[in-house]
Amino acid sequence: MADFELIVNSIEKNHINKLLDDGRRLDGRTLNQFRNIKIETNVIDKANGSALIHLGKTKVLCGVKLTFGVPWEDAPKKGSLFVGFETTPMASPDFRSGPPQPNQIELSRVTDRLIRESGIIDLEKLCIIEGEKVWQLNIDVYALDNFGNLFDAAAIAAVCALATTSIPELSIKKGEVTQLETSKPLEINSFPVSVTTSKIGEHYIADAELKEEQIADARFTLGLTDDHIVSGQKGGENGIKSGKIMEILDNSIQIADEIRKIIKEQLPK
Amino acid sequence: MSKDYVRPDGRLKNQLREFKVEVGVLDRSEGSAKVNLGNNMAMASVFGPREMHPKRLSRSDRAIVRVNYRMATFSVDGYKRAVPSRREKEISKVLSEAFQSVVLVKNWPRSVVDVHVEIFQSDGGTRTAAALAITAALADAGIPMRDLIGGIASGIYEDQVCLDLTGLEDMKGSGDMPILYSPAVDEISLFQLDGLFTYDQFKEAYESSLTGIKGMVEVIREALKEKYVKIREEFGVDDEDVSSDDDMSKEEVQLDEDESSDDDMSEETFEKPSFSAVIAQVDEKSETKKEKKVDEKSETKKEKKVDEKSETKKEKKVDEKPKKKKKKKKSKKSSTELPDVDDEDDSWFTKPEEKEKEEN
Repeated sequence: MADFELIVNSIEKNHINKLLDDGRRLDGRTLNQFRNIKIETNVIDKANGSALIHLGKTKVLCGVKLTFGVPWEDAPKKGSLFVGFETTPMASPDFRSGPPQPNQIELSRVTDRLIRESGIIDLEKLCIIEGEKVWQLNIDVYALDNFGNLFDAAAIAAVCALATTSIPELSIKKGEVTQLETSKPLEINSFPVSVTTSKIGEHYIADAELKEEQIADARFTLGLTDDHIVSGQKGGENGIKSGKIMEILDNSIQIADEIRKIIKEQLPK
Repeated sequence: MSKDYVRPDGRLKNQLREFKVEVGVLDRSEGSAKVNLGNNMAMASVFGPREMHPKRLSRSDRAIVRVNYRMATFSVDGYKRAVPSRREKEISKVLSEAFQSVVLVKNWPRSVVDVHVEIFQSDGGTRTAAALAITAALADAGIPMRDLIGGIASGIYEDQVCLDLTGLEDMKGSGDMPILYSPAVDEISLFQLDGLFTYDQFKEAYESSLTGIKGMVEVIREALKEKYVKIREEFGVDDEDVSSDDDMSKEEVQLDEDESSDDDMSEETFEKPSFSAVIAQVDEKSETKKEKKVDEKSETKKEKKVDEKSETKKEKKVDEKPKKKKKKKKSKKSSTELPDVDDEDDSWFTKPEEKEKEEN
């Protein structure tokens, strides 16, 4: 919960509701339509992989950095993976600097689950020396401009940054690891997409923009790969009728397939 | 084939763990509950509605339900650091939102209902165990709600959709889906998912969870009723007596309370004894539940409970600004509990396996 809400006045609220009754939205989209997605990759040279995502006017920047790390005790053969989300104060007047707020933690953890559970990265391939040294994959997403639906934007950014990440080649001699100048692309095994559905009154819309998000009763985010549901999170201060969940899932799967195509087209081959 | 699948702890796919709820286990808070869900042990307490601090978090048209979910340092294998983890903060957030959806928050603008829930022992599905404790505690505190909330964490273990995963199944399994659901209003108030679910697995897990939750909510409802049935037995009154003499008896109780609280008690002395008294009370409660015996001790304690209940009820009716008065009365209340001090029981802290053996 943000510290203070951006208040949408009731005239606008009624207007949005009336439009939805006719199956229309503020910016002319249909209920299930996403805003335009624009992807720029490799925007940060210092990072191993990066992507700047425009979802309508919402902008997020993701950078991937590979560092050496020590594997977890219970998984000596696996590299580690961290996803963070920074709600930078530049993105919105209700984001504050300082220690992470609950909404920021939620964004981080939902994106983390999507990346981790989708198996997009084979963590075993990040192992350098078993039990001693592994690659640690740090994926950090920065919100630049919040015009709604940071959840889905963050997921697209993270996946696109990973898809363009290159991993430095190493030479290992007698347990000594030296980093070579060359690098090879990181292998991507799946293509997870996040689809957030917002409930406004009795209407369910995909990819809510800022004002829609402010007046939404509830939010339902699903992470979907080609054949699996990998993450999910309900938010918002109202419930969702139990019968609607399967409808939202069916709908989200369709939307996810469309978005996946759009993203893949824009990624460099 | 898959229907006969037996899980590591001997349960079937759709079988839930043993589930116990007790309400009114703590005395200082306005409402409290303890939940045992298999090896999970969660305790919740409710304070409020009261003034929101810090003020900037308050809302002009409604109260906020602020859930603080924490895990005790000794609740896990190894030692959990005392600082709240990101996981705990996320769960606090989603639980707050879930209960915000059922509590009638518009009754108290600018206020907060503070809910503290602590996991003292964890074994998979702690956030649902926490939610069950919170529901019972909120109801115990008399906070008006649209419905009770029940919850189950289902998931996938060895490619089978299983209900109410244990810690082991959660760790080794390939999917976890905690759901909170209110059967009467038919609303999902919390949904989280991680892992690899196929469409069919999702559907199976989701639908069987809802069926399971309906049963759980009934258990909570029974636990809430049980408390008041016991109080009624204590006084040996029928429904009609209660309704007609209601206000009179409350008045009397109120006076008694005030008189007895005239004894001077220093701040330090009442804190500790009241906690051990709680421990004793908890144990007696569970014993009487199992064995259907009523001994003297629990009787006296129940009386105390009744007193407090009617006291707080009265307060709510009479008082428009309950905050200041309540503070005073709280200390009085605690001081009256001093005679109940009883240190003999610390079996509350024994491991659940041992406890089960004892009970069986």
